[in-house]
Amino acid sequence: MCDLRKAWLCAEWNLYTLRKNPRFYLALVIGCLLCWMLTDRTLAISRDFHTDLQVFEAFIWCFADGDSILYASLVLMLVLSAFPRLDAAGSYVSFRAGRRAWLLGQVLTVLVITLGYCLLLLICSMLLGAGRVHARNIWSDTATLLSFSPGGFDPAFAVTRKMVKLTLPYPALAQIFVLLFLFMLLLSSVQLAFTVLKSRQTGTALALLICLTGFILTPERFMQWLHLPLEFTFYANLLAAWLSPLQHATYMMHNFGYDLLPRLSTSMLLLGGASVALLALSALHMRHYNYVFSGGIAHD
Amino acid sequence: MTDRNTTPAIQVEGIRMRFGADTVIKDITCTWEAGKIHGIVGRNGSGKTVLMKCICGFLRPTRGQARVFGRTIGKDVDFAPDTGMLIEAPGFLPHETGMSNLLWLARLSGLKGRERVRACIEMVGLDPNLKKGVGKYSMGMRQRLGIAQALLDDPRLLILDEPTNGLDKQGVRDMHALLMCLKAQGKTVLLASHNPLDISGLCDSVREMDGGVMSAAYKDITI
Repeated sequence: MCDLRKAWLCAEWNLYTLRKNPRFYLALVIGCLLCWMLTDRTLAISRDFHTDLQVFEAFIWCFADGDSILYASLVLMLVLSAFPRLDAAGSYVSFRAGRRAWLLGQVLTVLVITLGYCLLLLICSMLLGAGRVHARNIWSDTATLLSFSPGGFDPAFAVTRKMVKLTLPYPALAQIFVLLFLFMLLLSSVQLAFTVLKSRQTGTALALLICLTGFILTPERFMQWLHLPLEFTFYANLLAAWLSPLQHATYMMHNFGYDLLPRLSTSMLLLGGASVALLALSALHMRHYNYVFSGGIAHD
Repeated sequence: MTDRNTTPAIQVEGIRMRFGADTVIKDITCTWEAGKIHGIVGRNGSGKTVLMKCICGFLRPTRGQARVFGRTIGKDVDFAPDTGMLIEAPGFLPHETGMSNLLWLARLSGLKGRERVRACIEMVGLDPNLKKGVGKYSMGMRQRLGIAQALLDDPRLLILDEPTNGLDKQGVRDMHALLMCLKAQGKTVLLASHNPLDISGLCDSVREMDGGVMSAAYKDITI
């Protein structure tokens, strides 16, 4: 119980130090701008065709897509690269809290920041669509237009008939939100674990590497590398969906009952399990971690 | 159960610390009695700070172990128990006031209210109502605040690395007076300095470190 109180205090202290951190405010602004840019296509169609929107649709259409998840995650890395705090100030905090409570505090910090950031994106996308939205659990005319219009508006759009036919806005929102959160949590856990295991540079580099795999391990690339003809796109989808962490977080790359893509629950288990394993690894290593602070004024 | 009166404050048993190919501390074994002021002198890079970090629990020695009040660091406890420390320059949040910085640490220690924090800041000759951020403090003021931080929990053991760094003459005198007062209260102080003159008059025992090796204890140092 005492450890939990101290862990929460460590997290509180970490969050408090963000108050004067310009990177934090920069990430907030970029996050909002990104949300505006990524949801603009959906909102533009709703504007142009004078159709309504379900309140969460801007978020759903935007973050059902892997690229949007990737961009948003990169912005989050800007804030999380400051953690865990292993400078002199952080070490003095750790001395009072104990290693276990301190690490738990870092995990809590990462959870709070990641969850807060996902909520910011959600709220931002809701505000951007304000004026022409409804909150009922049914797809809007915009969704119908996007899904069932002949030829569709944009093949890269994450809106498909699959989603509109198979689910409703509220469960879709919940699943997309959890996938987004778990992917971001995975990046944060990699960053935290490898900072403790090796160094901050290694932690950041590996988290960026996971982002890079999102860019590289796409169905299109697998088609290219394996010289697959168009009728074998399904196999490229399968490879990308199972091998790329980003595709695991992409709603559209999942099995909705009729193919061999991973199920949503499988991806959630994989992303969550990997994060838990990484955090457990850092907890194990923390017992022997050598603090190499050199003192001086900390950077907020 | 350890006996408070007979257990040495610090026991270091065969501590060796390596960073890569560098052996920074070479099999040091020694004991520091409770209720006294002990000094470690040595040139920069002689291993004083690393040894203190091992005793505090920040570094896990490659070999050997440190015990503080009978409890093994890294085994029984993560960090030295009942200990206040100031190692290298103190780390504070630059935009926060001294009071605010110490209040956070006090909360972590489970101290309630502002009185103890205020008393510690006053004890080291600083104004607890000072509104400027620690980033704007002089080096001496930061050092004083670092010592206030070490005193916060009213610990039985103080581990101070170069506590007089950046202090003016009056500051050094105040510091010496404070340490003597703490000793009179039965506290143990282990302090390190690269300047033997700083601590020779103050300490009950002084050891010298050179190249990671520690000498036997002796009282006075001939410069």
